[in-house]
Amino acid sequence: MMIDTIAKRRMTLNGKTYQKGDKVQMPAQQFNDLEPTGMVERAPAEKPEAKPAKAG
Amino acid sequence: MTVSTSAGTTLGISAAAPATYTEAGYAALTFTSIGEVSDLGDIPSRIYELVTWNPIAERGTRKFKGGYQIGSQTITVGIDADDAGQTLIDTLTNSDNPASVKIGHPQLGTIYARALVMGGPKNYGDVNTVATRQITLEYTIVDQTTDGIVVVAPE
Repeated sequence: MMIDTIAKRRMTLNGKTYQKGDKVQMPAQQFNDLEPTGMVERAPAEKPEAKPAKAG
Repeated sequence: MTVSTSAGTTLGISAAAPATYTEAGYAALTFTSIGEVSDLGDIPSRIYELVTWNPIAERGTRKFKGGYQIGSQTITVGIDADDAGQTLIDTLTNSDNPASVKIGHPQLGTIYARALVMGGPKNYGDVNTVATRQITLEYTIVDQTTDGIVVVAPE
């Protein structure tokens, strides 16, 4: 299962460099590995798009 | 006969244990690459202890194979504070649990194993050297029937 995380600092992960604040998708197991390092945090759940107001 | 250099070899690590100590079990894990490795050192495999016996009535030494261990590996990395794999090594050094290790060689195949991350000294050197760190991995058996080493031959 892939989850969305946020890089808490500049980070090179498996050859790719991310800047602080970048969104990083990774498997949950890898996130469990890396969360204790303090390099990534779980991204907040995205808010569902607001429904357009009904006309009239 | 074809021999190979280590060019292209990668080293990955994960705190997670595989569900089974098989190729499929290890392959299901996502490993974090350790960057800037310049020397991989010794690769895990069985090493038996030599037992000798010298009865005083004889001059010759008898030899036997004793117990075995699966070795240790000291890797050298150029210190990169941004590298997630090196940072994960720091975290795992503070853990008593073994980690899963993946060594991928482009010609010789992939080796999976379980190892204790022992840490290691940093060496900043002088003005003409790259700051490095030597990290020791102590490979350990999984239980009395399983070494936990899986060697996947190249295709």
